[in-house]
Amino acid sequence: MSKKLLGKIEKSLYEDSREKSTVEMVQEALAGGETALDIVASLSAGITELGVRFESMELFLPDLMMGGKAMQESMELLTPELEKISGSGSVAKPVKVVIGNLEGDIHDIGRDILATMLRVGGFNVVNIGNNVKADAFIDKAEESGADVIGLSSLLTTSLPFAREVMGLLEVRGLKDKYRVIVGGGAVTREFAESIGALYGSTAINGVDVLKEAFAS
Amino acid sequence: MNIFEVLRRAETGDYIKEDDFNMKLFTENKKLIAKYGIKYDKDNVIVDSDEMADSLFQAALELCDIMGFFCIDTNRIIRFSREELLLAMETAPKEMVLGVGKDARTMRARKVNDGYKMTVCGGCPGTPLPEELFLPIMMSYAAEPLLDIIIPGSLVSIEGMEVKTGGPLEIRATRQELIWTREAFERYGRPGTHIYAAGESSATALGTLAICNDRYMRTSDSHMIPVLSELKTDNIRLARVMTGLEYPAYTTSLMDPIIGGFAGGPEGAAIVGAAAIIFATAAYGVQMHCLHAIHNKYVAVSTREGMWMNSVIGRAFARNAPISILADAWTMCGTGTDELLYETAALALSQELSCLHTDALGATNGVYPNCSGLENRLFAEVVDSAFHQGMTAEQGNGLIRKLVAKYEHTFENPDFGVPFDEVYDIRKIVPLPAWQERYDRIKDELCKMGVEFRF
Repeated sequence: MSKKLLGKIEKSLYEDSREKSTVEMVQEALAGGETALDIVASLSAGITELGVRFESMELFLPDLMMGGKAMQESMELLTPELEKISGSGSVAKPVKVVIGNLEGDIHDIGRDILATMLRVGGFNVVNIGNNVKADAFIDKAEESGADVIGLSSLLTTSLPFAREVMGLLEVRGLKDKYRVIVGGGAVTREFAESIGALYGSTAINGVDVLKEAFAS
Repeated sequence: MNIFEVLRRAETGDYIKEDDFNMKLFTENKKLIAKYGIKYDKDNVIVDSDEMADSLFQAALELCDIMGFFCIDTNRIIRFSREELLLAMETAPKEMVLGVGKDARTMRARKVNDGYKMTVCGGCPGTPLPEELFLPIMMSYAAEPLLDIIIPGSLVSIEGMEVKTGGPLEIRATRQELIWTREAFERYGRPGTHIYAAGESSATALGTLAICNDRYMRTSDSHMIPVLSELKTDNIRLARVMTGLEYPAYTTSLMDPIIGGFAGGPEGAAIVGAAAIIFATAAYGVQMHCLHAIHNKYVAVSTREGMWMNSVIGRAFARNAPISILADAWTMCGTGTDELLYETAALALSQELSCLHTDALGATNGVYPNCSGLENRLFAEVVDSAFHQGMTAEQGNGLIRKLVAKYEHTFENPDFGVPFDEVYDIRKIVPLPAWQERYDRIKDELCKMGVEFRF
């Protein structure tokens, strides 16, 4: 019975579930005595399958966003339980990423895909939207205690503002405080390297690059 | 529909949050795909089913009724009645003379088997070009007589300074692009050639306004007004509509339905793309449309999904509401590679046999300046052959299946090729021997596959 519920939690992230929401099932599983770790394992399996189906175009962006939201809400519910299990009073602090589109760019769909993929990958995301001035990226990172600044652009003519972000980090003495990752339709690996930023060729690759950067 | 009424509706229409609009689109589009039986066929990307084409057109009209056209600056929905939409389609031009004098070309709203071939637009849409290569690259297009009209690339720097969105150099860059493009035309004796989508570096309204002068964009040229994905507009886009009305150059829309995005898969993107064309006709009053399928993983139009989406939309309008649609032809690979040429041939066949015109090749998805006139020549030659040999959709699909098999494997790790100056002699503006040999070899291959080249 309990395995059946864990299976349903997994599938709820990538299949239409008309009975109960993922969060409701997570609550039910906790009340039924399932461990938080087992529930997290089911959620992880579900989110992995969601990513696979998105990549193969069986599922689409809204499915990904809904699944990501369900995962995030479930994890918020489970965090106190996980903290009890860890014994130390807290689980590892997730890496926080401030992401937005560079000044002049309003092509937000790619950025939203990355935000969702980062959340499902365990990152804490502060999505600050379109047309963000270079200084505002840094202000937001400072204010929110971020570890990473993510810059997205589909427009070639907005890319110079990425260089501006790097310059302002230097001027403000914050160059070594943040990792910067850049991606989007107009961005090339060569450009990212030229400004000293990490490069995400796709949303999924961006998540992998950040995971690798923070692996230690 | 006059622009003032559109602006009025953008201020007074129903209020909705953008996220809710997106999710409603996804949900409603799913229902329409099922209701109208729209079905993607990966093995036959040229759609020759009249029933499917007609169903798509009806689904798009119904989506227009359900969703409306969303203005993100006001959070209001600009609604049109069914009659207003059909009237806009009916009164859109069915024939236009683009360019001037002996260099002018007639672009027609294509119909199925109407006896006309496409208008071929050459160039490198959306591609960032360095200052030092801009003129030679444009000359390589001007040197190709089969290219009827030409779209410039985008200048990335002026005097060594990067062009920034909304900055002073946006003005200079958009003007310089046109000065150099015109110079390329003059050098090859075709000064009256139409410049399609003038103002490539115009990310804001600044650039468009800056080129509204006979020295830069002539009234016989055109500029572009995008529809934002999906089914959205904003004040910058509407400002371009206003500019186009008062500086009466031609206008073309641009719609980029994302396959795998809020529209859903290829079927959903096709419905949304067709609906965007209808809205752009009614709200923007454009005379032409640039249709650009975006694959959510690979971007390229040369994907099976991208070609199918363009094809079904082309046939839907050719049968139900003929209007000039130019399809973008973005490839994964770049100049100097076999794969770019295979992608080029597949795109040429799929667009010519789907009642579309083309908006040129964007090699490497418009990311690198790895583009040249030679692949544009191949595109135009394949179009010419398909037309003159009376190629059927079935024959075209057979050829495309063979071509896709030759390039699809590169999608995960594409070969971006090399920049223009490594495939062309930039003093003589002719392909270097290695690039010419590659082109000749692949043209031979295409001949053996059944393409009957006339040139």
